[in-house]
Amino acid sequence: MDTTISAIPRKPKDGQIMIEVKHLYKSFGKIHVLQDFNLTLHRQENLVVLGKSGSGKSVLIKCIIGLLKPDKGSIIVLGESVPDLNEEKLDQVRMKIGFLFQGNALYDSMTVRENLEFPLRRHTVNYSQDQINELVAEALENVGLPHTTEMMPSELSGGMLKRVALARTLILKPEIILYDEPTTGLDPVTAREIDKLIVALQKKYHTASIIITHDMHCVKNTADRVALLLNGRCYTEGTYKELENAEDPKIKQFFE
Amino acid sequence: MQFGTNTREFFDQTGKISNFAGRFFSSVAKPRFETAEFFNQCFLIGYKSLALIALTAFIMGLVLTMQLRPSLVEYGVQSQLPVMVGIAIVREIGPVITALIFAGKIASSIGAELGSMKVTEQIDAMDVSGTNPYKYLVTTRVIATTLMLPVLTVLGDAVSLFGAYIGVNIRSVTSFQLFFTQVFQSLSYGDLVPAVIKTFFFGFAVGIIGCYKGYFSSKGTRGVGSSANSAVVLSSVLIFVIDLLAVQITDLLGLN
Amino acid sequence: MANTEINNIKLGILVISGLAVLVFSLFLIGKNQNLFGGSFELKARFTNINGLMEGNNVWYSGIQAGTIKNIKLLNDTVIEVTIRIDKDIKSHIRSNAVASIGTEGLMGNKIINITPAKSNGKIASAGDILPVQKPVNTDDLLQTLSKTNNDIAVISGTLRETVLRISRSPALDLLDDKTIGRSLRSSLDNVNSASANARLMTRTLNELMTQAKKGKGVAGAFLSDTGMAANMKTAITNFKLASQNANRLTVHLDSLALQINYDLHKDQGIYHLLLKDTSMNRNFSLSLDNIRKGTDGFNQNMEALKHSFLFRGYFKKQAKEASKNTIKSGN
Repeated sequence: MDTTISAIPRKPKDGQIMIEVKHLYKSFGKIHVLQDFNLTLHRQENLVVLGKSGSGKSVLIKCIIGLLKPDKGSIIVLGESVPDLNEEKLDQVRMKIGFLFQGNALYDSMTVRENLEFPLRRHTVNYSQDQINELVAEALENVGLPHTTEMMPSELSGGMLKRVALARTLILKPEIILYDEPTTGLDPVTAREIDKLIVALQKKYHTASIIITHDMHCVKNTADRVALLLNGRCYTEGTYKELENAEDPKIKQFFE
Repeated sequence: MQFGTNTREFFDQTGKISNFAGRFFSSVAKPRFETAEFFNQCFLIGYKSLALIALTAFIMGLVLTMQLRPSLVEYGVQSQLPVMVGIAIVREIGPVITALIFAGKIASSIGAELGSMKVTEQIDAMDVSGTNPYKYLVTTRVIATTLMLPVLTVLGDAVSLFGAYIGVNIRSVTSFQLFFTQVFQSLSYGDLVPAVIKTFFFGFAVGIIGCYKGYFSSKGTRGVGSSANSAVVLSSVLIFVIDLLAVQITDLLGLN
Repeated sequence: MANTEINNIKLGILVISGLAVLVFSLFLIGKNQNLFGGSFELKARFTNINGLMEGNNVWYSGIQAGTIKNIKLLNDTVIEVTIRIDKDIKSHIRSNAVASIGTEGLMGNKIINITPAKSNGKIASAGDILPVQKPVNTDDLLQTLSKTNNDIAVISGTLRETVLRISRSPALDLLDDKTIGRSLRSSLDNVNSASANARLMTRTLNELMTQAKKGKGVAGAFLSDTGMAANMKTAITNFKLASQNANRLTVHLDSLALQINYDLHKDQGIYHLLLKDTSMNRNFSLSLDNIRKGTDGFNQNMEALKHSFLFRGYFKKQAKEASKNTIKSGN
């Protein structure tokens, strides 16, 4: 943190810390992706992690959700240390976390309905068929695609796929949502729609989110706070405005 | 140098596959059981392969009979044709040809399916959705292939023998009853039982190799393609290796 | 969801039909192996079982009657074989029926043949030990065949001599009956070619036997084939008959010559006598006929043997060599 400029972290809306990452190290072979990375996410906050392609943004959130095991450091999500959890406990934590994959990761052998039902049937055995139908309808309503239930993912366009994926992420009403490059590969108009959707859903369900992106429009539209990931560290953090006006050329390159 | 790296790679692969198979055994008995998915896979793997296997088995029986006839006529023992064909089909041709066709159809499709699921992060999505993807994807498929191949082999043998019956009748006339009696008179448990038992291992090999190659597919369309391809090649080779082991074991046990 | 149900039904049909085929085949095989049948058992003790194995078939007068259940070495020379007998056969087997070890077909599996004895015994009860017949083994067969082979050689030699004697007999000079002359000549021809064939066969058999002793399969298989052996036996019988007839003819001729001598002595017309003595004449031509038939039969047998597939190769080779030789000598 010694090299950070004097940006003052914005005061959190709420004191409660949802995710706390401390001194995180992760390397693949000889490539050190994360080196002493620190990050904190507060309740009802949209945190954007900004970084170049290959800077380790995806690795970071995959470590947070437990898909990757860090080499060193602690990850506390909702009070639980993710790397140390057994499968059962990890599933309980994951129930409260939504994850929107970069490539949507919709199961292409299932219909939209089956895709949405999948996490419901998996995480909890207790939902009745009526409840499931209701939740599916609500989730699709939220993303504005109520008529696609019986379609296959291969029949949908890129923007629609992203919306369905978002609906699937939201269906369990998570407390935290992790977005992995939500606007990548979409045309600018659709990308802005997705931005608006992210903000709207955050307002509606009062979730905290980490948004990984290198799309500056998306950052501008969604961020309460921005963390800049550079060389495996959190180079700096602040609001969009603060970073936009920074003099540091390493920060400036993102805003040009 | 080249040889050294190849050797290393070979042992590395062998170790990884063994580890992957070991994971199967350690997870197969633990809940939760993906019963619905298992039946679905049985249907896709077993039922959907039946037509192909029946066709090849029929042709195999017919051709084998017609090819064997001249040599038997030479020795004046063409009346032994059903006996020879019966033993050849039940002991070796049936199981191995069925397994190879099965490998061609199923190992490639599992390799490609899991490969593309891996590449599009569907496997990760499953993990995040509270589903152990190994159990959901691999265990169900491996059990399905292990149990379906013997069923298909037995049915394939029956169709193959019917093909052989037609083959006998192209050049001479045999009643179905005589053919049938001759075939079964010459068979013993030592012919049928080891042949059926080895198909369980063939099925397991096809399933585990297909899943392994898909589960650890490298990124991109090329990765998926090569997963499918190497799954077929490797499982076909393994079928022959298992066949070799099976013949030695049955020999040792005195079942020949 | 309805779709899944249909799929599951289809799957169920597949699995059930697969299992049904499997169970059905197992049952059929089991029926052969007699695992599901009654448990009536008989025993037989052999000194040598010639490679008989557990699970081999048991025949009673040529009918499938059961299987070998167990083979046990009792001591250094006695092997006890437990035979499981089918229910429906059981009431027909008498305790004095003879068990012997044989072969199923030409080169098939070993079997136990149970043959009913000529005298009636009591119906066998479970655990009875059947009397056995020493198994025919290939070495014994070879020895027997070698003996017959020598016999053929001796007989053909004798026959040749006899024929020569016939042809030299002064009595023939005295016969002017053309039919007799013709049949005599053809008989002699037959005898000649027959003995030539016989010599050839003897050589062949000798060669094959050495091969068989070295363990070369085809000849061994040939020798253990009972059908073939029977053919050989008729051939040899025919041959013997021919030589007997030839002998008888010589006797006739001798007596004829004696008579001629005697007649000459008594100054009686020989031609007159010969033509007049119809019984003698008839006897004479009958004997000639018999010789011809006998040698004919032998010849046919030899020809048949030549064409038998097992010997075909050998004779082809012979013919080839012969033609090569003729070509050589022609050059």
